[in-house]
Order: sequence, then structure tokens, then C-alpha cells
Amino acid sequence: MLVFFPILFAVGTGEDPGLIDALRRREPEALGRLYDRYGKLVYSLIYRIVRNESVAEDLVQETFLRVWNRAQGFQSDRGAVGPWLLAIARNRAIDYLRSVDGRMAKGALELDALEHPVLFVNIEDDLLNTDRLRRIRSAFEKLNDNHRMVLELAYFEGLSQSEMAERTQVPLGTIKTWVRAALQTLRDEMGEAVPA
Amino acid sequence: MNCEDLKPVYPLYALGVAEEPERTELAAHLARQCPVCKPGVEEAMRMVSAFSAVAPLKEPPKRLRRRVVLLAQPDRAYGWLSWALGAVSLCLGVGVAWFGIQDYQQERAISSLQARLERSAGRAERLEQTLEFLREPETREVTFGASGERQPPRGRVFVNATRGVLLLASNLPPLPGDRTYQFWLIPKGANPLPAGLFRSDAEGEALHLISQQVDLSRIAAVAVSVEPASGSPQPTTTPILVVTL
Repeated sequence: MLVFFPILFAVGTGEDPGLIDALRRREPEALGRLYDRYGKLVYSLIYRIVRNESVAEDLVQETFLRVWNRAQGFQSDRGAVGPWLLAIARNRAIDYLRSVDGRMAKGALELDALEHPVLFVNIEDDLLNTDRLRRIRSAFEKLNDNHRMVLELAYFEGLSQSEMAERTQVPLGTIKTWVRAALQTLRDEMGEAVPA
Repeated sequence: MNCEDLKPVYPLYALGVAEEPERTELAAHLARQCPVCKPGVEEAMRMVSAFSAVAPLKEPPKRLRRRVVLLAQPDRAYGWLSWALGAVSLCLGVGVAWFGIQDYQQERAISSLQARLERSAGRAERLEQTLEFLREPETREVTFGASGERQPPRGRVFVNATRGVLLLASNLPPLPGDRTYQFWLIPKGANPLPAGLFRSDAEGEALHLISQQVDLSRIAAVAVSVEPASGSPQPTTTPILVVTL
């Protein structure tokens, strides 16, 4: 099981109490605590996107620097720093891919808006708990190949639906259908209250 | 566009694939703290945040923690760089105050600039590591590629038994998104050892540093091949360059 669900063991349940407050107070040891808790997860996510160890290291550093510089905008009484951290990590990695590929900004995803702390204030502390991660992994495995492919192209490569159509030579309408169906399937599997 | 129209867009927005005009419309609802759309997008963000679980777990190098922790100690770790970043940030702040720019578009522009500054900090550290490697007296250089040929990959390999191997290459052909360059250490009389993945930049140049001890008496050559994006345990294509050490 460890082989097939390795990332499930990357984080424990619940947040580190007081961690966000310590980050907001810019206590230097807080960054170490944050890294100890999420560093492996962040590195794994970034490496999955950029496929280069040295680049992944640089981007992990950028990610934690951004959190360090922006932690004061994070509400301490609500929200989970983990999902926010992962959103920043993903954005940094995809931003790098785009710069390497020379992908145009027009039509590409604008991800900066998705890492604003305000979007994470009502996300519960244990979002990244083991059971939840196991369920999302299991739900992904139940997707058919096309549905899994479009979600991975979107999440791990930052492709827009138009870019997916171009990359896969599949009509844009079909891509849109696959994306919506994939999200719907995940919602059903996860029991999420996400409007379809 | 009302909130009901935007509900199907929530998961697409959270994933980052919402299209215009829905994306801008929903962003505007979020900017004004729309009581319907904001919780809807937050719910979608809950699900998308967990997609990271699909990434296989990979152990980061030990030195990475040190690099991250040093970020919180600017006086000792970053010196001039922190001052430079601080000065630029101050300029940005003054600029923002002067022009009274507080709308959504300008906030994004500042965010983009800050991301570039942070990236510069990371690159500066990487270059510093490279310079340290090159300064080592034990580091020796091997060149490859004939300058007379039309567009061959060429460059230099630097080897250091205690610090590792550094590849500086140019004229690398561009690769499709599903392929990557893979670096190999080739022991004498044994199969190649994978030594990391890298990409070239838009000019076909690449810098790839392997920071580990290398028994140079056992390594006959280094090589680069084109592999699937996830890398290969052994080369699956003919190497585009092989450099005898």
C-alpha cells in the first residue's frame, strides 16, 4: 500500500497549532516547522510538474519564500496553510513550465488568483488528512483514461482547455465534456458539494 | 451574469480552466466577496487542493531544508540580495502609494513582479552553488562538441570527486512537452546510472548540476539522452552526446 499511495504518508492529520500565528509573527523557526510538515509534499508536487530535481529545489525555495512574505495576509483563526502552500507550489511550477516552453499568456491559465489567501480561509484544517488523500487517489484511479488525462494536463501542466485540444488533437468540445465529466465523477466519488 | 449562471464554473475556476467571459465574471464576484460564489469556489478549492495526492512521493535532498530555513534569516543568509529585494519591494510600495493603484489588475501585476524577484533569489543561489563548484581546485573540465559542425550539442563538463558533475550545454534541440533530457554517469563496464533530468531553455542552453560524491576512477563517461518526461531507469534512445572523462 505504501508503494501505491506514497503521498498519503507525507503529512499527518490536522494543522500544527500556532504555526500560522508564528509565521505571521515572522518567527524564523516557524519556517522550519512548516517545511518539516509540508516540505516533502511540496517537493513531490513540484517535481511531478517540472521533472527536474535542481529546478524543483529552486521552486520549493521560492514557494516557501512566498509564504514567508505573505503569511500576514492569512487569517490565523480559520483556514489551513497546507492547501494554500500547495496552491502556491503548483503555480510556481507551472509558471516555470510556461517560461521554459515559451507558452503564451493569452488563453493560458491565470493562476495567481487561485493562491490568494482569502480562498483558503474556510478550508478545514484536516483537508490533507490521510483518509481524504486516499479517497482522492482512489477516485482518480476510477476515472477513465481520457478523464484522468485532461485533469492531469490541467493540474500538473497548467494547460487550458484550448491548449489540451491542441496538444491531444481532440476537438475542444470533447475536451470540455471530458473535463466536466471528470470533475463530476470526482465530486461524486469524494462526496464534495461542488456544483457540476 | 448572475450567481446561478456561474455555479457550473466553480470547479473549472478552481482547477484553472475556466474560460472567458465566465472567468473574469467569477473573479469579479469573488473580488466583491459574493456570498454565493465565494463559498462555492471554496468548496471547489477543497477538492482541487487534494489533487496533489496524485503526485508520487519523492524525498527532497537534505540540503533543501537548510536552504528554506535560511530564508527566514535574511541578515546572515541573503545579505545584499535581501537588501536588493527589500529596496525593490520598497520602490514597488512607494509606487503603489503614489498612484493609488489598488484594483485587481494592478495587484496581479505586483504579484507577478514579486514572483520574478523570488525566482531571481532562487536562481542566484543556484548560480552561487555553481560558482562554488567551479572555484574548487579539484574541479577539472572536459569540453565536447566540434565547433565546426553546423548545430551539434556542445559545451563543457566539469567533474569534482567530492562535489559532483556540472554540465553546461548549448545547441540542444527543443523537445516536446512529453520528453525531457536525462543525464547519465557511465561506469566502466557497467550500465549507465541515471543522474537527473533537465530541460534546455528557449536558446537551447542548459545547466545541470549533480551535487554528490562521484568515484571518478570508476566513471568512464557521461551522456545525455532524450527520455519520456518521467525519466527512464536506463537510456531508451541513442544518447545525443557522450563525453569521455
